[in-house]
Amino acid sequence: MSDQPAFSICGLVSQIKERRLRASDIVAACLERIERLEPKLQAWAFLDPEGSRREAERLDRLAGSGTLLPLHGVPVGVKDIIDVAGMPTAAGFEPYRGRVARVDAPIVARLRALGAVVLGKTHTTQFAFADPAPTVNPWHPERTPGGSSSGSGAAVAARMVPFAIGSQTAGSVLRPAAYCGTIGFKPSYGWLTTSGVVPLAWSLDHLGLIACTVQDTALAYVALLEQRVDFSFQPQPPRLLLLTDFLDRSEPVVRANLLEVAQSFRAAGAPVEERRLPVDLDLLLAVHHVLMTAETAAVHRENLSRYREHYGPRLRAAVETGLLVPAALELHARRLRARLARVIDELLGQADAALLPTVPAPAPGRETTGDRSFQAVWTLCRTPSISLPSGLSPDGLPLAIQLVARQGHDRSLLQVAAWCERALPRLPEPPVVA
Amino acid sequence: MRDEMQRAEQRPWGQMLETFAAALYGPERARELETEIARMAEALERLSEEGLDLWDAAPDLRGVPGEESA
Repeated sequence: MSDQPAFSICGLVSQIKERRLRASDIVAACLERIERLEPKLQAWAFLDPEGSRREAERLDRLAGSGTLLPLHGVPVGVKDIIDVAGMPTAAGFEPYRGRVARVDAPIVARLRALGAVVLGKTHTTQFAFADPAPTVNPWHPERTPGGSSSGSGAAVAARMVPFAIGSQTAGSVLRPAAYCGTIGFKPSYGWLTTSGVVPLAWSLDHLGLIACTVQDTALAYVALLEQRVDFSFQPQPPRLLLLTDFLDRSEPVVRANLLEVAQSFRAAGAPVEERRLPVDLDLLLAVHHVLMTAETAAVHRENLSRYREHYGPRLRAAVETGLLVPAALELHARRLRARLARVIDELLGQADAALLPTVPAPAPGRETTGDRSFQAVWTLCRTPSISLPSGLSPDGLPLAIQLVARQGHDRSLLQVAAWCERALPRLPEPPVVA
Repeated sequence: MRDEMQRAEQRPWGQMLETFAAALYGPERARELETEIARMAEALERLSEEGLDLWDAAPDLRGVPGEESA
C-alpha cells in the first residue's frame, strides 16, 4: 500500500470499491506503521490490534457479499475521552486506567456503522485540559504536538491513520492540527453530539475531525451527519475577510506567511478584504476564560477532592480558581457571549469566511500545549472553523491558516476550505516518517 | 460588616480572588495559584468594565393564556 496520495480516506475508499484493496490490507499496513513509529511518537493510549483485524476481516466478507459502506475499512483513531465499547476511557487520568466503556459514544457507533475501523484510543491531555500528554510532534521531538487532541494530531500527521476524532473546548482540534501539519475541523456547536464524551466545559465542548485533506474531512463529516448531501467539489473563489487583530498578535514568520497566502488567494481570484474585529479580542477571550474555568470547576469539583494528587497542576489550578468565580460575573459572561456571538455573526455574514492564522507562532516546547487564543474565540461563538497547513517555518515547523464561517454554515466552510487548499503548498511528510 | 463589604467591593478583583483563595486553600496554595488567579482577575476585570446594560427586553406575554386567565 503506497502512502500518498492513496493514504487518504477518499483514496482508500475508492481502492476498496475497485477491489484493489481489502480492509484487512489497510488495517495491517496502519498497524505496522504504528508499531514502527509509536516508540518515538507516543500517540496512542490504547491499541486494539486483534479487534481491528477481526473487524477488517468482517468488512472484507461484507464487501465479498456485495455490501460497501461509505467509510468501508478506513482506520480511525478516537481521542481517549470518547467511549469506545470494550476499550478503556482513561482521559489521561491515572485512576481511570481500568474504566472500560460498555457502550460506544454515538459518534463511535456512527463510525462503525459507516464501516470505519477503530484501531484504538489516541492520547489526550488530562481531561482534555492543558497539562501536556506524552505525545511528541512528528516534525520535531522537542516541540509540542499541541493539545488537547495531541495523539489524534500526531497520529494523522505520521500517517498512522487517515483520520482521527478530537475534541475542542478552547482550541484542542485546530491547534494540534496546525502544529502537526494536518487539517483540523471543528463543526458548529452540537452538530456532532458530545454524548458519551468526558466533559470539560459543557457549553464549549465540541467534537472535531483531524484528517489529511479537506476532501477527506468533508467526506467523513457528511457521512457522520447521517445526511445524504451532494458534496461535489466545484468551489468558486470565496470572498474572505482577513482579520488583522490576529496578525497584530502573531510572530513575524506567521504574519508573513498569512499575508503571502492572502496574496496567493487574491491572485487565484478570491477577493480578500482586511478587517478588524468589531469587538475587543481580549473581551472575547475573557468571556471564554471565565465560562470555561467556571464550568470546568463545576465538572471537576468533587473528583478533585477525591483524587487531588492525580490531577495535573494546570487543571487543578483551573478548578480551584474556577470555584472562586462570583456567580453574578459568570452569568454576566454568559449574557455577554450571546451578545458577542451576534456581533461576530454579523461580521462573518459579510463574506464566505474569515481568514486568520490558526496559531500566533509555530509549535513551542513540550512543556506547554501552545496558545489557544486564536482558536478559542470561535469555540466561544460556536462557529465552524478549520485549519489548513500553509507552509513551513525556516526551522521546518508547520504553519497554518484558519478559516471561520457563520454558525451552521459548516458545509459552505468546507467548500471554501477546499478552494483554499488548492492554492496552498502541499507539505512534505514529517521527518519522523521519512 | 457593611463597611467591610463596601471595602471589598472597592478592591480590585485580583486582590479579592487572592483573599478568597487564601481563605479556601491556605496562603501557600494561593501563592502557587498566583498565575491562574491573575488571569482570572484580568478576565473578571474586563467583564466588570463592560457594564451591565446587557439585558434583552423581557418578552411581552400579554394576552398569552396562563393560570390567571384560565
